[in-house]
Amino acid sequence: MFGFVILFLRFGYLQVLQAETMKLKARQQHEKPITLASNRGAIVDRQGKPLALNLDVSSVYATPSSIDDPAGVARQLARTLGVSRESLEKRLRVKRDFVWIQRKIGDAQFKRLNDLALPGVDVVVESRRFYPKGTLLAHVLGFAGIDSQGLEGLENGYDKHLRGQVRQVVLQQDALGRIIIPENRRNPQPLSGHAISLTIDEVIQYIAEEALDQAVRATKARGGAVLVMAPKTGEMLAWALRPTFNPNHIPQASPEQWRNRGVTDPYEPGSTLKVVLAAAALESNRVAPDTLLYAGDGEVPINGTVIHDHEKAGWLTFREAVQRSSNVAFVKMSWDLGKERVYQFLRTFGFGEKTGIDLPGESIGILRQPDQWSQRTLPSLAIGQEIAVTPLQLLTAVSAIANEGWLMKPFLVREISDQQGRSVWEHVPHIRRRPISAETAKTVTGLLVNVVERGTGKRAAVPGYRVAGKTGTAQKVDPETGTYSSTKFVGSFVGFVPAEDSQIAILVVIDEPQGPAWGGVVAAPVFRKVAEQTLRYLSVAPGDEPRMAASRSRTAPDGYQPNWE
Amino acid sequence: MKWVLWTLLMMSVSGALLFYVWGKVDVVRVGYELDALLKKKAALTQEHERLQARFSQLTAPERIASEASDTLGMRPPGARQVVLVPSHPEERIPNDEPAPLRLARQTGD
Repeated sequence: MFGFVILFLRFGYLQVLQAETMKLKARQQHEKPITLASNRGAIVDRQGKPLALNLDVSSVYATPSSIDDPAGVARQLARTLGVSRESLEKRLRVKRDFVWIQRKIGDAQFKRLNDLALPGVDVVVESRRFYPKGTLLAHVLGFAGIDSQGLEGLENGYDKHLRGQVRQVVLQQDALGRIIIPENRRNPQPLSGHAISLTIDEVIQYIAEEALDQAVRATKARGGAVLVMAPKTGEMLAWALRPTFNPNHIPQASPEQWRNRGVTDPYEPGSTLKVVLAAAALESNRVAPDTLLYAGDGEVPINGTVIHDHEKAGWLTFREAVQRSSNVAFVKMSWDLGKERVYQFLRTFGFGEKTGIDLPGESIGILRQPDQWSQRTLPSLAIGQEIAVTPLQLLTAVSAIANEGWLMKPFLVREISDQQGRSVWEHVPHIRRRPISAETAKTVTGLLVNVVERGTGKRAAVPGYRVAGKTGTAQKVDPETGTYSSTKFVGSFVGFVPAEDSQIAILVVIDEPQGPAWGGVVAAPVFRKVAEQTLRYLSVAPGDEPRMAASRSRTAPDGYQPNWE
Repeated sequence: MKWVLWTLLMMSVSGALLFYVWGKVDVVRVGYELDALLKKKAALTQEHERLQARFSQLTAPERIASEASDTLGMRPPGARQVVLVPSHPEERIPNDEPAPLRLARQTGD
């Protein structure tokens, strides 16, 4: 009887007086709080080929309270993981139940660590961003941080779409630590991030990067850029920049390498800007292709300085002035247009404002208001100086000429889809405005075809296609003296093809090439290489092919005869 | 009679309790099985992702180009070595049809 009383009292003590404490102890034993993190959405190219995906990797953590010999464990960990022993020992001596030792280790390290079986040291599986193509499209993709947060490029710009859900849950476990009832029986798993599909084509991107690499190597240039756009929609098909980096190895890269110069770094475009000036003059009816301009003795004095041509030209038609890229003729034409009109055209072609592309950190370039211009500014603008444009601004402006005068908004993401592959958002091409008429665009295109067929851009010609384009060779400003350098140049070429029905517009910029720096020498061949391979890849028939097919159609019952006969 | 009723009542209560306990035990057993299957699924998903990444690496244009040129001795075709065949012959015959409708809209800026 006495025993029952004792038992009853003990029972009452535990169940009533100690109820809360006991409940807490029990909960600590059979409940296991964990963080469920879902995967970041994948990034794929326009053909669905993966450019960024996730891999499960192991992260090492320790429970310092259960480690008796922090120094010994730190020594073994340091050897295995290649981390400083002192910093590890310091972490293992803190009075906490959880400390990270190293996040996202490699398979070999994991195997060595597993063999050691150190007390109080364990691993947890985390998701790591992986870029299977390495450096391909690195500047556009950007990269994600250790906690899978977007830090640069599209990873940063589309972070809210790509980022998966994170949820804290409490699981029930038995005495052996096994989960009794899996969490997802009652609650759904956190949702993965959305996948984004780019306008970029992996193959065209490779063509552009390969051609740029060869050019930068051959000219010993400081860097370069090749951007490819579909002028009718504003879709970016390729975006190659040098120097580059591997987003899988960010600690070995520097901001100088991962900065997206295509949108962040304005440069003086030189003669490539004459495309816009020519369009402005034609749209304003100040000139026609056959209008005669006097290019004098190959030089024109400007406010105490002189602007030169490469050779004396005398009288030139406007067509010839564009073909020869005559500085003198364009300076005189800019005086005729006047500064307000030149400024307005530059603005309507998108200079001095963002293009609106879906990338973070875009620069507006440098285009001063006319009331801030000196006497030299207008003639300088005529030859592409005293203005700084981003490569994307220039390509977008020239694409407007290829697109019957319509200025499009460039974009990189064409679709966002959910975990089941259902489209949740689709990009519709956007027209920004129309700086010039279709007639003017056609006339300018004719002038640019002439540049490639007879002028400075001959090396950009692609056999079988009509190419329209313009070369540019700009002196760089020496940061030490503040004047134009006589040794540092930017050679460039911008154009589109086929001229009569443009499928691609390409800008090539070679920064500080050693030796000859003319755009027609260093950049035009890159244009040709990229255009030739891309047109073939896109199955764009050469200009003479349709005529061949039509002329042979008489022998075929269905009106078609293969053109290899 | 009273004893019979009591016995039946006790048996019913015991049976109900046993059924309840059996149900609970079975839920736990199924829970273990489910957890094991989920772990298996996670491992397979992980393997699938790893293989997908490997496939993506192996089919990278850079690798294909290097295999084609270095291993197989291939090179890009010349300008006249590629013949494009139209999938719809009638597309090749010029006509006066108007251009297709543009899929674009004015943004207002």
